[in-house]
Amino acid sequence: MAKGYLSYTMALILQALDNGYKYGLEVMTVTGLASGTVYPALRRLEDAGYVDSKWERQSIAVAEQRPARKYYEVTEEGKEALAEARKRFRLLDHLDQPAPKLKPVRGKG
Amino acid sequence: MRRLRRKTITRPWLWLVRLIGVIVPRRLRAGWRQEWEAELVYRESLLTEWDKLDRRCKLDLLWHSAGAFADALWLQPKRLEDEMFQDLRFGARMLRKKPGFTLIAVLTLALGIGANTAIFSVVNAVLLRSLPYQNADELVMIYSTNTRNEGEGPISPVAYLNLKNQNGVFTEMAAVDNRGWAANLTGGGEPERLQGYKVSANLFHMLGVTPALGRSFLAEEDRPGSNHVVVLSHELWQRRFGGDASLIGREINLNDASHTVIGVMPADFRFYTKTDVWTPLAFTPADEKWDASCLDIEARLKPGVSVEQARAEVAGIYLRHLNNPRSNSRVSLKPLQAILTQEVGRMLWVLFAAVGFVLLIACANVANLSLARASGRHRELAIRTALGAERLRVVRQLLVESAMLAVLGGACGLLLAYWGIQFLVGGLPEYLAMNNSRVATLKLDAQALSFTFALAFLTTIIFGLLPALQSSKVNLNEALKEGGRGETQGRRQNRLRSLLVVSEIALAMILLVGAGLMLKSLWRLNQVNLGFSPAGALTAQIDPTYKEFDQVVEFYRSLLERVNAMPGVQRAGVINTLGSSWNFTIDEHPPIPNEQRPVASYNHVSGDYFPVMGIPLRAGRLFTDRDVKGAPLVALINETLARRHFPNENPIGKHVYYHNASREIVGVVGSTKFYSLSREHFPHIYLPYSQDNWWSMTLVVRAQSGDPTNLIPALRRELAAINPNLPIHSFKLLEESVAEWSASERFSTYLLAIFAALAALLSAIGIYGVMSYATTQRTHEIGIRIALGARSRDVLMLALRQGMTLAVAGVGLGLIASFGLTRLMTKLLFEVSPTDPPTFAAITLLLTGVALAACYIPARRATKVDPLVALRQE
Repeated sequence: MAKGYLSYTMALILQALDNGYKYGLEVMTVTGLASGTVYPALRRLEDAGYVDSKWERQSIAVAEQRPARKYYEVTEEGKEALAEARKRFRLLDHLDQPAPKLKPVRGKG
Repeated sequence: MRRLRRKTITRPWLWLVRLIGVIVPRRLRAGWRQEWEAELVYRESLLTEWDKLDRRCKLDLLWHSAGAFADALWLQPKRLEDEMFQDLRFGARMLRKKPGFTLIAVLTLALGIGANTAIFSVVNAVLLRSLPYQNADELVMIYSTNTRNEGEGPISPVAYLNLKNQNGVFTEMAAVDNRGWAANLTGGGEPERLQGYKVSANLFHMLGVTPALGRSFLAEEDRPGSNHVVVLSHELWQRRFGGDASLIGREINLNDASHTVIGVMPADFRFYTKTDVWTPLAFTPADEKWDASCLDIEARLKPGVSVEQARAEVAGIYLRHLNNPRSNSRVSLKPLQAILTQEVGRMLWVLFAAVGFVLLIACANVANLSLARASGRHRELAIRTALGAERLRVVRQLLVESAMLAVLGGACGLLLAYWGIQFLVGGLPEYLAMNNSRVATLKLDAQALSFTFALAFLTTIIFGLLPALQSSKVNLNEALKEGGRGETQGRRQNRLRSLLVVSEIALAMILLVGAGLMLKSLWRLNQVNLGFSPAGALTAQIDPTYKEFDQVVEFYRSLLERVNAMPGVQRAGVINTLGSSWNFTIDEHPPIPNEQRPVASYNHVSGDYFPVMGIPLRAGRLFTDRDVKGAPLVALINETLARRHFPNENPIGKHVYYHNASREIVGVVGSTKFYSLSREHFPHIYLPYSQDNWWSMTLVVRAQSGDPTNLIPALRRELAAINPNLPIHSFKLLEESVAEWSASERFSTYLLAIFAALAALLSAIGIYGVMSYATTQRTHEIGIRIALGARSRDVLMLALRQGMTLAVAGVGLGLIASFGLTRLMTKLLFEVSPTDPPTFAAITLLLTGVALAACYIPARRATKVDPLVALRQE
């Protein structure tokens, strides 16, 4: 992906992450994009340095009896690119709200 | 965890993700699977929480997990990257482990690629790229020739005007007065002689070049009277006028007449030789009837008109213009580019072919080295195969190693090419460098770079693929057996290596023969009897600007008087530099029709010219001070003319009708070569400078002893004493001028010789490599032979025979190919046949000798084999 230029989809995903949706699935749900779009896009954003990924701490996963999840975070560079993209894509403003509580899963077994 | 695993069985989406995970690169696979499983489990748990895990939700989950496929696909390039990186790292390690091999291979390739890139740059600049004019492929040059199609000559003004008015194939035609226009620039500093050309007013427009500053000529400026305007070269404008833009519209003084500067051409504009100034060519009504050939004609074809059509049209018009069916005079035309490059083109292609051969030999050598090394890595490759490496993977690994060598070689080659181009630009014959503005600025450009890399890639394929395919065919059983040598494979490899060596030697043979022929031809050229002795003579140009011819004669007379009286001067004479050719007849002979009249070239000279040059007087007398205007017209002829046209009579006292007058032949002088060493002696007539109007002269001074250039300050002083406003310039040793006449031959011959030597060296290395490898392989066998009583002579002969078989086969093949190929060089050779037997014999001996030496060293080593050591190796 060429640095410095974000397609609308990429910007949308970045915006969703910035709003606090940290997992691929959440991004899918909130943006309505297909999984086959979101994941490759996340990898590309990661390659471009706009997004960092971390594995969830193993203890949490074990406590919840499921595989550890990978969550994504927007980097400083990503924030800059997003700010630039928002000038071009006014529609992104509609997504500009903090993440709602998407149903906590904690304690579920 | 346990529960999770149990549950998986009933969750097809997790299975799907695992399945898809197979195609994810191994390095990323675990993380990838975990992420997707975690995501799907999370989604599932959300759905469960909402009590909605029905059939539709399950399908939905399945559908989403299928999205993993797109994700996995996106990761595919990383797989290649990974393995590529592995290959590269491994390759680099292998190359570092064998620094000797790497160094030799890289150097060999660098030589081949560097030489190719350098020559390609020149070929590209000179032959391939079109001329730097607008739609240059439409430009043609029209020239006069004869029915035998010999040479290209200028065209007369009257024929030019006829062609211009009657043709229907050109959009524009322009003429250049090929006699040049010597313009003395005076006023504002040292007087200076400028090289100028008179050109049609529309020349620049036709070429599609606009001045960088000001304007070009107007159509009405090509009439006498209104033609006192000039366009300057960028170089002159910068040098003489400091790049002053306000010069446009100002007057400068040329040949004592005022000319208005109207424009400055762009810095990179070249047309013909180096030119300082252009002025419109203005025909007077008398000129328009003038029949002397002095114009070079350029024209632009109408769109859609082919060169053949145009040629037919101008030929037809010219025949009608001549109106004489018996005349053998014709006109023809060729694309301008073909004209400008025809002399040098053939040589460049030969050189290009030569460097191509060098590269092929280099590739063969590296392939040989790789093969030798591959057999050393036999075991390694077998183990890799045994551990599950596919053949493709092994081939790729070997190719990557080769590619690394090629890229390294290419990089070093670029460096060599950079130096090579400096060298080439310095050495290129001047006429070529001038005709072609791009040669002057020749450098490594993008095209040359891409050529180099294409070459590196090609060489990888050439030298890398064969060994890679060969050595990847591993017989596991044989290779892994303790002490197994893989004999079958060895034999096949040896055959391949022998084949490579034979072709290397054959290629080297062709190159050596070509270079040998050229060297012999150059030697012949240097042996040519010039007919005069250049050593110790100095020449200089003088262009007096007197109005009256009597003043010119008086000027030269007093100049020669003064120079002859100078201390250190043995003798001095003058000759006009720009001679041309005219028809002549001999008054005492029966008349001959116009078109069959013989042609002789001529020069205006002073009587002193002959002793100064060392040209012998064969009969009669030289010119004296009494041969002036008003006195009977006289002429000297050279021996060639005398022999050809007065075979059985004494020419002295006979009369030639030449240059519009009948002249008495007063003497016969020796024939000389001028401007070209290879051209045959031509009938020549000398006229006294004092009887015909001619202004510009070359002063020739022979020093009594020592360096004649020491005379330059004194010569300037003597000239200034007569007329301080006259420039004297272009001081040159006659020896230098003579060397220049064969400069292009010398340059290309030396280049070819260098390439051939390189080829011979590389093929010697090749045969040495193969022989020493073969000897090492046969150590065991030789040991047994020695143990059984073979003498060292027998062993030597055994090893030599093997090597010499290859050498003789290569030389033989090379000989056959040379017989076919050197024919293409016929035009480049002077007094040497392309199948010159002594050259062929000498080269055969030379190359066989080199091969023998290369075989001898390993053969000698074979005789030193200690049977005990050799047999213990098992």
